[in-house]
Amino acid sequence: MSTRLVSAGFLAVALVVLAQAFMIPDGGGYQAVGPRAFPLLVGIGMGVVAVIGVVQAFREPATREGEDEGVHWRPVLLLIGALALYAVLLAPVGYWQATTLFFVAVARVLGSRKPVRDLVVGLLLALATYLLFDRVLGITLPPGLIRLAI
Amino acid sequence: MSVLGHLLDGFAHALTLQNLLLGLLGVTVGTLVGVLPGLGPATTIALLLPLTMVFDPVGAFVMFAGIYYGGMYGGSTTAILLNIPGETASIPTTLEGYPMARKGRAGAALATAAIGSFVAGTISTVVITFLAPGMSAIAKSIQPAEYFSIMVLAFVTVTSLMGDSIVRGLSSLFLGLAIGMVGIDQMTGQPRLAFGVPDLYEGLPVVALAVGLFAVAEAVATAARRNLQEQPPVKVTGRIGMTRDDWRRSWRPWLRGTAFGLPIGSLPAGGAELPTFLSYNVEKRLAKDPEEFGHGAIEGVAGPEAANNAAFSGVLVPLLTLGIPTSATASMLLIAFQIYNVQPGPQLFDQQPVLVWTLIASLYIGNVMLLVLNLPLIRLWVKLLSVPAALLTAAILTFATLGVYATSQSVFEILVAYGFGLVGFVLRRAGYPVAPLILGAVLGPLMEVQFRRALAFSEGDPAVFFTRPVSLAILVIAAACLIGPVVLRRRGKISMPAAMD
Repeated sequence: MSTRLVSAGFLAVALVVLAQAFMIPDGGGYQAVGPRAFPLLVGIGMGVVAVIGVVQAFREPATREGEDEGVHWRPVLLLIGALALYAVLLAPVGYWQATTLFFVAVARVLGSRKPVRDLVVGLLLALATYLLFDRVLGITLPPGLIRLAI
Repeated sequence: MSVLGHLLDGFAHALTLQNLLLGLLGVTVGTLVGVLPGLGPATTIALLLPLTMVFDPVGAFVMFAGIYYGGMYGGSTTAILLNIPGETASIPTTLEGYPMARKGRAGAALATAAIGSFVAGTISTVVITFLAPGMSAIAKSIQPAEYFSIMVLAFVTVTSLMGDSIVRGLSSLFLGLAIGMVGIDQMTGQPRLAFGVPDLYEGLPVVALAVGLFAVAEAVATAARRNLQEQPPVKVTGRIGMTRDDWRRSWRPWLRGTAFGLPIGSLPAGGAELPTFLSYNVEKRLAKDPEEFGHGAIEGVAGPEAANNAAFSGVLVPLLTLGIPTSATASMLLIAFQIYNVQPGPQLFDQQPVLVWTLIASLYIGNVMLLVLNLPLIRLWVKLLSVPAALLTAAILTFATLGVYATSQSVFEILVAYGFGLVGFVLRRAGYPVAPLILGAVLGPLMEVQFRRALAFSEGDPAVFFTRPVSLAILVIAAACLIGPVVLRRRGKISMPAAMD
């Protein structure tokens, strides 16, 4: 991951914070300090540090010493996809159903080649946590389409 | 009531059957999660936080004391057997513990870590039992301007001690402060940095933030790794225990480690990194045979482990009496307090005596439980290390999601956790420490309160932070801590411990 890119990202965030801070109305009335002062302070501080960060990042060699450049993006992107689907499907499909599928998918993305084992482990884990939280601890989890008889 | 009276009262609450079982559960689950590679104590607490929410506050904090110690001990096990430090403070342990394990001395390394932690933890707990109430009394007299300056000092020291770049640490800190400001301003009702999104009006959820930055980020990092076939852990052969010679070589490092960890940890500044590295260097210097260091010198495990544990207990002093966390793990504890609507700080000992004293009593009990549980069960914990990484990661993500959802019933918070998982992954890859981020997000809102109070007293004059002598002195120290390391590094006077992750 490029430190240059990330340092530029920090600068962008700093500018957003500053812009937002300036837009906060500061008519605190009787108050000596309104809601704007602290965000401004943080925005300025972040901006200064971010500028130094960018300058440093562009002075250094592009890759840091000893850094392993090999990020495998394919599994990372697949993992992000699995996470997004899981978050969206959790409520409509049901907790233990979605969790089982998610477990198998993540294990697969991370290189597991034993889908049956993953399915069994995932199902047991999902059912155990569902029953523990929903039935024992009283924290409601989405039941989904297939409801358990217990 | 006297300190001893309060403490006895705390023991009476902690020693009920329910709370003892919760403590046992905490130590066990804490070790279980902490022993997993890459999961340090902060991650362990983030993952287990939701589990504690179903209990009453006292029960939950008894459990926390267990998780706190269990997570830390689990971390040193991974450091010794896998050469993977779960957090920065465990790096010295890997330097000597792993070579010891490879020489077939894993049993002795694990034992000196456990017994040293017990000794350091117990001494530290006794000291903070008597120190904390006094500190709390002093803390009550601290005015807003000084409070603000102390927080600045805490931020600066924690940031300048973590990672190899102060600029990257500060960037991370400011990002955390900005994140902490998102939402409706408590005093005026003005939305800030919310971009008109109603879900953000209540602020970014800190539990989801922490779970994302620690647990989800670790899972993404696992996915990005080139080679999942990591080296297997070193087999634990032979007896878990120490020879007479090991004892002889360990007891002084334990005590010296405690002497470094406790005072530094108790300051509203240090954290656990400095004392462990300090202890390691001192043991190396004092050793009869410095050549052995790097090849499995038991002093290099005994000292830093004791220092780490003592600092962990010491960190509770600024956390409980000032409400200032000085490590990622302490930030997690502050989040836990806030979930129960308990605000640590000068009033805590007056307002929540049962909670505080039960927590302190639980620290004594947790320490004993850890020693009794872990030495005999260590072989069982080690088995966990042979679970395939794919399944472990899938399980971690499942629990992370469950935890966030169980506390919030909100898909939005799950997405926040996932989003910050990616942010945490990117930051770590680029060499930015995440501990200052979480610290800024948690402590920032409290800092703003003191900032505005101080300015209200001075009728808006910002010079108040520099004209009050104590405040000025603290800020000068903070500036020295910020600039000092930069100057020293430029001149090549000190070499900071090698890369953090």
